[in-house]
Amino acid sequence: MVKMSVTTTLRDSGRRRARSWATAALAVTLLLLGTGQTASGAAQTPRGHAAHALNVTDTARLHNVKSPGSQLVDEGTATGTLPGTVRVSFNLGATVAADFTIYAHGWSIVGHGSGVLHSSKSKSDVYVSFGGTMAVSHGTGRYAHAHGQGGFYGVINRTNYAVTIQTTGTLSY
Amino acid sequence: MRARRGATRLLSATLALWLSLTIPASAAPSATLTVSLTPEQLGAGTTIAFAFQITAPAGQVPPPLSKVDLLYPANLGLIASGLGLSTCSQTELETNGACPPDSLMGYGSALAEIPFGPETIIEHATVTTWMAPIEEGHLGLLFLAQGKTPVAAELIFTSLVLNAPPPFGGSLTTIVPIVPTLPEGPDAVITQLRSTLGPMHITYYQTFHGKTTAYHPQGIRLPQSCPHGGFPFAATFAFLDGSHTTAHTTVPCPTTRRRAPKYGRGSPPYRRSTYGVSVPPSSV
Repeated sequence: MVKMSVTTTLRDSGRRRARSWATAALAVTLLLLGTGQTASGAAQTPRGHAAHALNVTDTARLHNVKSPGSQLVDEGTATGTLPGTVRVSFNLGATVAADFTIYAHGWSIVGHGSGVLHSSKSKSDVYVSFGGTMAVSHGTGRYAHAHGQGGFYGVINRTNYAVTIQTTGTLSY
Repeated sequence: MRARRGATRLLSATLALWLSLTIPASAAPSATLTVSLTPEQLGAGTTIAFAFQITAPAGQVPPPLSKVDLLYPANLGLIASGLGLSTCSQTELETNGACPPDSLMGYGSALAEIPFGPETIIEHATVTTWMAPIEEGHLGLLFLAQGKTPVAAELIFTSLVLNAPPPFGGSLTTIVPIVPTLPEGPDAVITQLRSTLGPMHITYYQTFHGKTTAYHPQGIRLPQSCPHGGFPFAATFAFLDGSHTTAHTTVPCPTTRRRAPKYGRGSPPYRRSTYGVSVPPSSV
C-alpha cells in the first residue's frame, strides 16, 4: 500500500515502469502475507492486522446454568492453550450442536460446534459422549479476526447436565 | 373402419369404468394421531403421550405396518430429560422380558387385528418403552408389546431418534416387524398403538453413600416459549404393500405461563390435542 502511494509522486516518463514495479512489489507483499498466515510469525495483512496461527487444545469443565427445552446453557473455565471463561449453549436434538464463547480479560472467541452421539461402553448411560467438528467464526480484542476449525468432543452428565468439552484445532487471528 | 375404432373406444371406456368400480380404490388405509403433554407447562418437564390409529374401509383389514415415523417439535430434548439413565439391548429384553428400571421410558398399549377366515380377531397388548443403546450416533428406543389374549405373544419394535426438517426437532423412526400368525395365513396388523414417553408413573432409583432412594425423573423439558400455533406433531406410516399415509396434530399452547412446580405438587393442567386430520393415502 505504501509503494502504491509513492507512484503518485513519480514523473510521467517513469510512471509506466514505476507502475509495473509497484504491481510486482504488491504481488510479492501479498505472497509473503499469504505464507505468513500459515506460519506463526507476524506480518502485515491487507486489512492491516497481524496474522498468527495457533495450534489450540483446550479443555473446559462446565456446570449447568439453565436447561430450557432441548437446550443446555453451561458455563465454566477452560484450561490449555487459551485459558479463560467459557459459556456454551448446547442444542441436544438428534445430534449435538453448540454455540460457544471463550473469553478472558480484553478478548473473546466465538464459534460453533456440532457432533453426533457416541455409544457408551458402560451399562449406565448417565454419561453421554459426542464428537464432531467446530469452527471459530469471530472474536474481539486481540482475537477480533479469529477464525479456525478443529475437533469438538465432549461428555454430558445427564443427571446434572455438567459437560466437559475438549477442542483441538488451529486458530488464525 | 370408423365404426370399429368407435367400438374399440367404447369398449376401452367401459373396461376402465368397470375396473374403477371393481378395484377398491379406497383400500389403502388412513391414520389419525393424537398427542398430549402432561403437564403442559413451558420450561417444565413433561410426559408426551401419543396414540395412532390405522383404519381401513369398512369390512377390510389394513395392510401390515412396516415403519412409523413420529415427528416431534423442535426444542424437546430426550437427552436432557433425566430419562433413560441406563440402556437395555434387544437381546436383554428378549431374554429377560424386562430391563433395568432406569431405562424405562414409558407405558402404553397396542391393538392388532388378525384376519382369520371371514372374521377378524383382535389382540390386545401392553407396551413398555425402554432406552436402547446409542446406535450409529442416534438415541434408540425399544417398544416391547406383550399380548395375552387370545394369543400369548411378544413383539419388540426398535426405534431411532433421527433428524427431521423444521418445524420438527426430530423423528422417532420405528421399524415394525412382520407379525406372523398361522402357517400360510395373513400377517397380524397393528392398528393401534398408544404410549407415553416421560416420567408419568415411572420411578427411578439412585444410590448415594450406600443408600438407595426412589425418585421421579424430570421429564422431557418443554421450551420456555411455545411455537406459533402450538407444538406440531406428525406421523408417517409405511405399509408392507408399499402404500403410505400421514397424520398431523398440534398440541395447543398453554393459555397461561406458570412457574414450574416441584414434581408431585398440585394438579398439572392436562392438554390434549384434537384428532389430527387424516390425509388420503398415497400408493407407491
